[in-house]
Amino acid sequence: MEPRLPGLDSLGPALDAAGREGHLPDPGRSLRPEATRNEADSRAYVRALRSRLSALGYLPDAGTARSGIVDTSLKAAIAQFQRDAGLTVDAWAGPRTWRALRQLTGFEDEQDPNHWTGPLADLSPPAVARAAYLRLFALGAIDRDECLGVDVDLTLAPGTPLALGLERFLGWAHELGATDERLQPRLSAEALAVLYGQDDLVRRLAAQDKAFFDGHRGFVESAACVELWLLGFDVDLADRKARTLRGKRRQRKLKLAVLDFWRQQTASARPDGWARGRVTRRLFDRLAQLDASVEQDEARLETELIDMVSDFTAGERQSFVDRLEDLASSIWDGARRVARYLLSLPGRLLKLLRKGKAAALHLLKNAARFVAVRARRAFGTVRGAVEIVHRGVVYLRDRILPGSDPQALVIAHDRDFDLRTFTHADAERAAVRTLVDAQAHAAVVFGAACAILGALAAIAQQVFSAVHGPTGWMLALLALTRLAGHFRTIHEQVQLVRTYRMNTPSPFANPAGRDDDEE
Amino acid sequence: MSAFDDLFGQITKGIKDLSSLEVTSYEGRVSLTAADLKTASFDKILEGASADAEFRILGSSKSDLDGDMEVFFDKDADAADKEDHRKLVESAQKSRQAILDLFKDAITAAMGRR
Repeated sequence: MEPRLPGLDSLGPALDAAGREGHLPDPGRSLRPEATRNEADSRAYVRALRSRLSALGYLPDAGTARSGIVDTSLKAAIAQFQRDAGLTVDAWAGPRTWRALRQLTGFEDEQDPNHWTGPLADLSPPAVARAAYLRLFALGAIDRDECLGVDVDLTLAPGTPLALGLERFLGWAHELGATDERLQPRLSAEALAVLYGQDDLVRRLAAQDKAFFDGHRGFVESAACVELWLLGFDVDLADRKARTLRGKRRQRKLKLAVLDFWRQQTASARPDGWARGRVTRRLFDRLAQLDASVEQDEARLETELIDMVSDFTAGERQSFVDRLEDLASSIWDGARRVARYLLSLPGRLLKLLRKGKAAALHLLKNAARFVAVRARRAFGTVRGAVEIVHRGVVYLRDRILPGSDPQALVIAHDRDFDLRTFTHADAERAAVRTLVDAQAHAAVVFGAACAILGALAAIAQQVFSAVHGPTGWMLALLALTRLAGHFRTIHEQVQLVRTYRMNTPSPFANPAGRDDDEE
Repeated sequence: MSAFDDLFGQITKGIKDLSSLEVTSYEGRVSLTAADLKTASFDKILEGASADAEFRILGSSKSDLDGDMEVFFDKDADAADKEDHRKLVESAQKSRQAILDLFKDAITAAMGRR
């Protein structure tokens, strides 16, 4: 009987279970399945992709935004986005595509355009104009009838919705003191930095007087919607669905959300007249305070959440994970803030969660957001780790190094890592060196794969109990964060392979320029 | 789907002797295409090449876990040949060390649970 490593015996089936649930990509695929790459991704990832592409107007049917299905419309949307973002167009939403999407549509991570990387860095790709349009629309600077569709005019010619919206927003920003002078309506680095500076806008709104709020009702209410949406409240963020929503309904939902927000604050934090549910300076002041909460309290919150979940009865736990299943894939924004927001909640509300009262649903939603951010942070690493393990095993399985050329160099190894090479007497030195470097690269990947497996084996027993269940993998990721040392090992190995550079391309790598590196 | 489980099984399958590591570099001529590599074994390549008069062992090295190492180079091997061979030995050692560390980690983890 072949020896099996302790820990790996149970780790494999657990990861397979997570894969069946759609939480992990399929490691059984071949290395270059051009037609199946999107399909190999998890449903949660596909849903997040759809949601963002739909918000940017790349998916004609906004109703499919929450589907986890990969179809021709999704692939067409990915390809169009890649074209617009200056990325390699292959209709596969790999890490580079995802990163570009996240940069353009996120309200927190990497939101500063000055830090954008890749083709987005020079701010000229059409996708940047589209994202700016979406943001202006969400902040109420573009008329509700001009929602972002596939064929919307994205030029800055005088009188276009984008030009008018940008001019309007930059006027507000100047009034708020975000810019020394009123910026020209161009998609410049300065203008985009203000547009994407959501935290700064909130702080500045917190310092405005009543006259500003009365004179900019649409803007401040839209900004409040964004903030409350990020905190998990049931508001209608102005996106493509806005066309179908009547203004009064949107207003009513915003008012209820503001009321709920204040109800969840301590009595001493509530301002006079909070029960009117209006968007006021005090609302932004409180939002800014929550945002400024000290980060170290995140650790305390995490511990409390884990303890809380582990105390659940079976029924409560099922209810919790059902809710997570519903929410987790659609809430890839705002979790950082929500974690801080949770810190401010009085303990009695935490107790309500266990009693299943309706008021606790908000808490549940926020807890789900918090778990999601952990999952999201780990998501790239986990995907990278799976890929590295896969490549490491492919290296071990294939006795002859992929890319070997009988007219240059053939490299073969056996299970015990003994190497044999055959160099053609007439081979060019550069071709031989390329393959020697490729072998070195394969050894790095294999080493990383083994280190990852070692770390996983060490933590496996501690997280398996969390893995079982419909969203077990997400909970397991949360548990993993407590085992930071081991997880750091995995992360470091993923980073090592990502940053490892050879003199020449590896046969393990995709053709030049393909979207294949983890971010 | 049991992909992960299968993959982990393959990691440890067939490993017999990690105590020594041999790297051998051959040089010669052989008539094969890249497509043939998918079906031909390395032994088959050597078999085809050994008939050629220029077939030779360019370099060979054997290293033991205790650090002992024997190295042989053909008298006509140039500096670039030796450098390539050194790199290959280094990568093979890296792979072997990785699997040894994996065993060590796993055993440590197993002992820690007892």
